[in-house]
Amino acid sequence: MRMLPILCIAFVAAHVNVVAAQNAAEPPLPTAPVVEPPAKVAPVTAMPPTDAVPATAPVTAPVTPVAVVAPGPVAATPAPLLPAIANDDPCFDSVHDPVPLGLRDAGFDAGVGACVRSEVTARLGAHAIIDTPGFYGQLGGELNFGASFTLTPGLQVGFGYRAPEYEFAQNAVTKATALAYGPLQLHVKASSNLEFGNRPVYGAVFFQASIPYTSAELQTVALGGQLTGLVTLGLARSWFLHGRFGVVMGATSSGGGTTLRAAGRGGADVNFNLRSWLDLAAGVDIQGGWFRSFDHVLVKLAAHWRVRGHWRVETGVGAPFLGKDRTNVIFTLGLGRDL
Amino acid sequence: MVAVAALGLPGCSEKTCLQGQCSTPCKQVTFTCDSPNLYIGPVSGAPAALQLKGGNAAANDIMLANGSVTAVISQINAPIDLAPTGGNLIDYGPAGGLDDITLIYQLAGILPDDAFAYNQLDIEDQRPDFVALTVTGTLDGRSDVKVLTRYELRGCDGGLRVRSELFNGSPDIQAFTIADSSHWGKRRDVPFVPLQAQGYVHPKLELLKLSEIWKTQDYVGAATPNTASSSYGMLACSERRIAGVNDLEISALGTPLQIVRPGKTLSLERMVYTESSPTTAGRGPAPTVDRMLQARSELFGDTSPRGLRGRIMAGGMPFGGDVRRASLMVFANDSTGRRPVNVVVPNADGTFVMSAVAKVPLELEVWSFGVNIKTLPVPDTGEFGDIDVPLPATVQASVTLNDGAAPPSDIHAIIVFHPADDATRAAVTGTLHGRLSPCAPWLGPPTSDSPACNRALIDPRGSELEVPAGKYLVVATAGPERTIAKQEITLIAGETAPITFELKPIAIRPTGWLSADLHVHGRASFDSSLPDADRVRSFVAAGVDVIAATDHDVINDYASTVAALGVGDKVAVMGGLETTQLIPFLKLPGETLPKVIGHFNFWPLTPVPSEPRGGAPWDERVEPGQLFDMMAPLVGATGMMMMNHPWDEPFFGRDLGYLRAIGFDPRKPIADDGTPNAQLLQRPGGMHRNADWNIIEIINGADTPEMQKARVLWFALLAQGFLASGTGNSDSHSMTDAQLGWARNWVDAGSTLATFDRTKFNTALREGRFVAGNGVVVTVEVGPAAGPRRGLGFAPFHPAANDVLHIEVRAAPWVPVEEVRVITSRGEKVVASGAQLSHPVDPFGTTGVLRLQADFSLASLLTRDDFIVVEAGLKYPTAEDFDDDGVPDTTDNNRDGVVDRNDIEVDEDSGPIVGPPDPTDVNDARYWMTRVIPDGYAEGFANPLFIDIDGNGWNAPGIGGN
Repeated sequence: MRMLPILCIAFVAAHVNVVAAQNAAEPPLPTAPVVEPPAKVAPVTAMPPTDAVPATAPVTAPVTPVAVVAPGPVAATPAPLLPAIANDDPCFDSVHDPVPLGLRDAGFDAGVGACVRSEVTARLGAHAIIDTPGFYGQLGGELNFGASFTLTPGLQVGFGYRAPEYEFAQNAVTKATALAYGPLQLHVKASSNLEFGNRPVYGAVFFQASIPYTSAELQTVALGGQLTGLVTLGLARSWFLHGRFGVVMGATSSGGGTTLRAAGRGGADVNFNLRSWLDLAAGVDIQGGWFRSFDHVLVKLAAHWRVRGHWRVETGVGAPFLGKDRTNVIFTLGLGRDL
Repeated sequence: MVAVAALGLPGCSEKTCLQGQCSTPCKQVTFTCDSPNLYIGPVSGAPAALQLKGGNAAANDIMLANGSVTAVISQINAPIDLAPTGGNLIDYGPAGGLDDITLIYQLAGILPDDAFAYNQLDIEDQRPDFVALTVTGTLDGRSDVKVLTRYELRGCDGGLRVRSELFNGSPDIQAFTIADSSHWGKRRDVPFVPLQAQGYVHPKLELLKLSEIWKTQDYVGAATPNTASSSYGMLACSERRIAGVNDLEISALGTPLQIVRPGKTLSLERMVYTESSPTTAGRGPAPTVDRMLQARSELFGDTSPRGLRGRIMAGGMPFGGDVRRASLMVFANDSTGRRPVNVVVPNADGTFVMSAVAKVPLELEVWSFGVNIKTLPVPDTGEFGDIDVPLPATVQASVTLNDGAAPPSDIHAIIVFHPADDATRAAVTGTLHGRLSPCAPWLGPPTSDSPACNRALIDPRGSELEVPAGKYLVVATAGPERTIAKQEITLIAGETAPITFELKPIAIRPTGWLSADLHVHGRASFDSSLPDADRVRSFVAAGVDVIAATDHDVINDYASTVAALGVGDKVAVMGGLETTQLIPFLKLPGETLPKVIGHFNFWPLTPVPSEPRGGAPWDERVEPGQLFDMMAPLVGATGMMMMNHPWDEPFFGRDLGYLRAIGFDPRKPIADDGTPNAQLLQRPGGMHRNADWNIIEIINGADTPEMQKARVLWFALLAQGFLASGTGNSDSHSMTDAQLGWARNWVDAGSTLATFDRTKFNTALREGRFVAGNGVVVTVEVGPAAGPRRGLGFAPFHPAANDVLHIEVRAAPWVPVEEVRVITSRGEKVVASGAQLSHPVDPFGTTGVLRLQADFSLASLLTRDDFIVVEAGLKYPTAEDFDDDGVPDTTDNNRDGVVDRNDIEVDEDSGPIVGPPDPTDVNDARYWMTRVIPDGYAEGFANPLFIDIDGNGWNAPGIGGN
């Protein structure tokens, strides 16, 4: 319980710092990109602005080398029919990626986009269940570190580790807390530009799993993961869609028994590139099966912005409705650096 | 694929019984013996030597015994008390000894959903090695959380080996424990906790602060502070310390409260000890604490405990065998502070042997008659030699009744001691090592057998008791129909003081009527430890003719005890039951927390000892209407179904009174309009309405608050045509919590005690042909002033123009009466007070019993159909209704002369409503009554008359006459 205020303070402080940094560094925001970027370039490992370029004008940065180093299927994209602007390609800039929000342990079910990235991230997460009629409450906060790498232009692998994790749960007046760490999560994503109608459309298969014996709770084997098909495309100028459909699975085993849970999940996030350095996003995931019934309609709002050079900040909040999932709200605040 | 992978992973987890891999719990704990006598099977088939005395077991419950200890596990379909199913430890004690527990059941949390609910019971008979019983199920409200408990007994075990497991198959992170919940019931076993500032004293168990007070301790002992009690103890084996909370009401002991993630398995192994033998019965918790200290050295490598020995002497003579004479508590005094570690009652020869932790400075507190006599450092040898305590005096008391016949007859009675000077009061005010209510003098624990607190039962042949030296006022009583008598005595240590009292009859009851207490508890109830013999002696000592035995959730009738004491000619006992819901379930609109329906009494009933609960049905999770449906066939067409203390305060989150539970509003009509009042009209079982009780308890105990609240509800029900007679009862559980027969009823029974006819008696109750009171008898008649007039009864009375209400009020001279009130739907009216009433001069005399005999014109009292209830007694304390529910809730608690919000308890929006303190001024009208009846507040009422003014049948007048 004592951790939550700290997390909240950390979030507020981080938010204030980011805003303050932006305010200090930037003039008033333009209503549209001041200068359109040059012709479309290979997007998969989209080149972010360099550290030397002010965040106020990221799209003016020269972006030449990427097309050279990424000659795969994405690089082979023919000249687009759309206006040749960089932010029409959903994978051009990682600020167009969905902000991952997961409901299950360590966020192994978080929705992602189809673009592959090389990046490192640190994310604060929090979740809350306040089920007054059920005399149940759960509050949690965690810090997740992760990294991903593009082994080839269409293949991303990565890992994440949660440490620390703080949980508070309450059944009526019975309260307990735990400070823990783990699990380690591994993922792999195979992505390809499907070029639908001469527009970049990225399809991917994503598999992520929590690895047993990598958490503080050694007497309980816990696995969780998702196998998801992903699609990411530009809808229109400055609008991007990230769709997903797949399964979320979990299994636990300890001396007393084994549980198996699985759910089908489909959903989409829509990103709007409000500023060259800022995406706002909204999304919905629909899931059923985890609670042996309809689980939820998860509604999400997120923002993803580049703060300086390779550095970006993401934040999101989600709330499930309608189903048996009792979670009230999930929240994330992350800091990422493109590699 | 994740699932497949999980199934293939062995994990780092221990083997579990849930997976069929069960090993002996607490296997490091060993015992030796000569000739084990293992048994497992139905209680009915067990050898007599293994059976327990005073238990709850039914014939088909399962006994595990080894000749040393005997445990009884309830059959899977036989829930008892708080447990939602069978499979729990319901009787436990040394083989052939006394069962002093009510129930030990398992839980994962405080919600009803979190109780272990078993659905399968498996017996493992591995004699001669061991016997075991395993019960499996789920949490009661969480079918995806699997639970299991295994009870195992090996040949020489001095305690029951228990292992419980819980597997969280739910998708949620839970805050759980595995804990054994021991329902002590507030007046039975007193837990002994080896923590600083505890021992017999425990932090207040506030449910909302449960997590804050959930502490770990090395072990916990318990014992009833009675002469022949068994000793109990609980020691964790799988954890170094056992966690939980302790209280006189309940202990919950097990694992720490902890986060239990999906898929996690919790387990707990513990030893549940018991000990009692001819040499250890009544020795307090020490016999089991000794075992637990030894076991800790086996389990955790603790240094072997050290032994302490000595002998208690008084006046040069060995002095022990009773917690009254001496009780010794040993404290460890180290860097963590001063904490109690053991407590023992010396043997009858004054000797004591007990264990304590080693390598720690120790102190011994020596208590006698509830007073800490001295504190001694424990010598290195542990040998104290002789320890002197003050020698008490011996009182030989007898009470006679002089009814004009010669010679006066010896009778059952009660004598009450009061210090007669401040020096004596200071010297003799005692407690049970700081626990239970203080008493002056402390002649025994308030919850125990006689003498208890400052009072003692006196037999016709006389009784002898030890009393600390000092100057006392001693008052004898045998109920409100006898005088009281007093003596001032000075008791000198070591001397014997014979004292005799002569009482005389007081004629307050109508001729041919019988007195009755219809709400009485004894040791069969989970919250009483009063031995049956003392309970029955108290029936007779109180001068009550008829008793309805109404133990909690078990049918009982005291028949064997009445026969054994040979008092069948003095008291008639009807078997009965008080249904006592403990598992909240009733969800009401606008209420966050589920409720229970409070308590209801049913009689007459016949005990069936071979059945669970003595034949009583499982009464949880039903509304009153369903309860009546179940009970009506059992009590028969003329049986009684009484709503008890309808507005009593909730206790431990459980509503005790139904009308309070549903939020009944006496200011509003009872209609099917969706309001809480509409609950009364529901027929949840299809037959009876929730309002279909046939009698209501209006006075509960000797004090005033319950009556002050319940009468408001009763009048609202009567005004709306819900006709049920009102009773006054004691609800006594011991010799001190409430005095048996205070209140009581005087019933136009249509038979004498010798020819007692329970059908006629109960018919009189149903028809309202009785009065009730705390010492005050109010009789009423209606008709012509010159007579003949009609007495009580529910049949409507159509008066003639000049008919009167004739009122007579009688009370013993030591019972004060200040006013007489008449209540109708229009309100209440004081019709006589002050000089209009007789006020006896001599509280010890026999004259002035008739306080009022007067006629009142019916026409002056009502002008339309209505009910009339007549009350007499003291003026009610002024009270306000601050929570605006129509029921008074707050009295002048700060004694500033006004009732305002300054009288409300901190953090509350109203209350409490309490009676005034017992006076210390001998000239106060309540002084002598409260010398024998603590908190006594004289009141009485006659059941209602229904006046049919217009002669076209009685029509309910409605609330406020509208």
